[in-house]
Amino acid sequence: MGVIAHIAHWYESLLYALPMVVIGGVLWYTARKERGREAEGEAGWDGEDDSRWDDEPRLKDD
Amino acid sequence: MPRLIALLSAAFLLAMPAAAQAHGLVGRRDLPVPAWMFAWGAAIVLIVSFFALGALWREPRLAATKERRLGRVPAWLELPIGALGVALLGLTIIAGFAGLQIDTANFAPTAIFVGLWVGVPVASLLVGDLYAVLNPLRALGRATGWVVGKVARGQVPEPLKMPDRIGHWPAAAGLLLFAWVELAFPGRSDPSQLAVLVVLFCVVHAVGMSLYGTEAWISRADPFAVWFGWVATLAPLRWDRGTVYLRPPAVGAARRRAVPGDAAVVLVAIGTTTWDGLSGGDMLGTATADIAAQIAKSGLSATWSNALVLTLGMVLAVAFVTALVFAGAWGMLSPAARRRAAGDEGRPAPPSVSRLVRDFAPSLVPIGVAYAVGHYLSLLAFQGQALPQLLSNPLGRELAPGDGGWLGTAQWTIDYGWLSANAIWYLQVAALLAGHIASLVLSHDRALERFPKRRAARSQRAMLVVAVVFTCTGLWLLSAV
Repeated sequence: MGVIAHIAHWYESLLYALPMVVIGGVLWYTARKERGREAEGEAGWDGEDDSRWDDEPRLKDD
Repeated sequence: MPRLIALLSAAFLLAMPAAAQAHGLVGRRDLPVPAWMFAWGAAIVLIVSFFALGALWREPRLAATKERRLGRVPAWLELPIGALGVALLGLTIIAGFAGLQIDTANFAPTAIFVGLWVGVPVASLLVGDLYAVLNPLRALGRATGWVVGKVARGQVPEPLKMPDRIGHWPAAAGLLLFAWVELAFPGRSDPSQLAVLVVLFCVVHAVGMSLYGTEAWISRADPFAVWFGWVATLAPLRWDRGTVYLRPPAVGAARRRAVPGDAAVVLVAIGTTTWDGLSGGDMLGTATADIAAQIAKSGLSATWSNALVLTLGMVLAVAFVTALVFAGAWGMLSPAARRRAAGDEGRPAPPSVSRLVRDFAPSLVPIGVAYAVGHYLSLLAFQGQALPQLLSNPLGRELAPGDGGWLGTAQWTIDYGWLSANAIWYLQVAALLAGHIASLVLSHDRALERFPKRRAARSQRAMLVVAVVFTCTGLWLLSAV
C-alpha cells in the first residue's frame, strides 16, 4: 500500500506541473517561430527610447 | 544559461515529493473535483486574463489612476498607536523571559509568528500601512530623538548619510534572518530564546537609528517596515500625513518605484513561504530528518544537523524562486535585444536582467502576499484566536476557574469549527488567483511604460509562465498532502 500511495503522490504532483509545462512549451514554440522574423526586422533593441529607463527611483526619505 | 536555469527549475519542481502546509490546522476537505483541477482552472484563468490584457489594455493607466480624499485623522493618534506598539513589544519581551516556557501558553511566540508576521500584513492589506504607525522601533526612535533634541537644545550632530546603492538590502537580509528563525532556528518555540533575539533585534536597530536617523534607518533596514510597506501598496487606502485617500487596490504598487534590494525583499518573502510549505509536508519532512540524521553521524548535534538541513532547504527555495524570476525577466527581452546585451552589436545595450527584475519587482508583491495569505490563512484563522486569550494572561500563569485575567478574555478558547476545511481551501484558491492576476496586471502595465507598445504584451509572455508556475506550485503546496 505504501508504494501505491507513493506513486499516487507523484502522479498527483505531475498533474500540478502539467499546466506549467503546456504553457511554457507553447510559448517557447511560438517564440522560436518568431525569432528569425524578429532578428531580421528589428532596427533597434526593444526599448530604443532609453529615457524610459532613466527614472531612477528615490528612497522614501530623500 | 537561463535555459539551463529554467530546466533545473522544472526538474526541481518535478523532483519534489508532494508537500503539505506547515501550519496546517485544516480538517478533511470534501471537494467536488480533485484539487489538481483547481490548478488547471487557475492556469486557464491566468492565460485568458493575459490575452485579454494584451487585447484590451493598450496604455499604461495604473500610475495615473485618481485617488479620492476620504478625510483627515488627527495627527496625535500616532502617539497612542506608537505607544501601543511599544507596549506590545515590551510585553513580548517580558513574557518571553518571565512567562511559562511553553510556546502555546506564552504570549511571545504567538505575538511574533501570528500577530506580527501574519496579522499585521493582512491588516495592512485592508487598511494601509498600519505598521508605519504601530512600529515600536520607530516610536522609540522618534521619542528618543525628541528627548535628545530637548536635552541637547539643538546641538545634536547630523546623522550619517547611508549610501543610496544600499537601498533596501539591509531589510532583505533582516527578512531572511527572521525567516531562518521561524523555519530553522532550533529555539524558535522557546519563549526565552525568542525574547533574547527580540532584544538583540532592538539593540541592532537602536544603534542603526542613532547613527543614521530614525526615518532613514527604519525605511531602509527594518525588514517588517519595508515588507509590510510593500504589502500596504496593494491596499485600497493610502495614508499621507494624516490624510486618508481611497484608490483601487494594487494601484500603490504600480506607482511605487523599486529601489535596490526591493526585489530581494519580495523574493525572500516568496521563497521562504515556499520552503515553509515544502518542509512541513510529510514526505519532505521525512527526507529532511533522514539527511539530518546522516549529518549527525559526523559529530554535529541532532538539533543543529536538522537546523542545517532546514537552512540549506530555505536557501535553495529562495534561490529557486530567484532563478525563476530572473529567467522570466530574461524572457522579456527579444532575441535581438539579448544579442545587443551580449555586446555583439554596436547599438545601445538594453537594461540588464537584474534591472528588469528590480523594475518589475512591484508586480511580484501580490504573489508574495498571495503565498503568505494562502499559507498562513488557517494559522491566522485559528491560532489568531489565541491572541486575546494570551493578552489577558501573557505569562501563561495558572488562573482560577472563571478568572478572565487582565482583559477578561483569558478563558476564551479557540473555535476550530468556525471555518470549514472547504471554506479555507476556496479562500486559499481565491487568494492565490487574485494575487497572480494582480501580478499580471501590474506587470503588463509596467511593460507598457517601459517597452514600445508593439512589444509590451509580448514581453510579458515569460512572466505569464512565471505566474502559472507560482500558482500551480502554490496550490500544490497547499493541497498535495
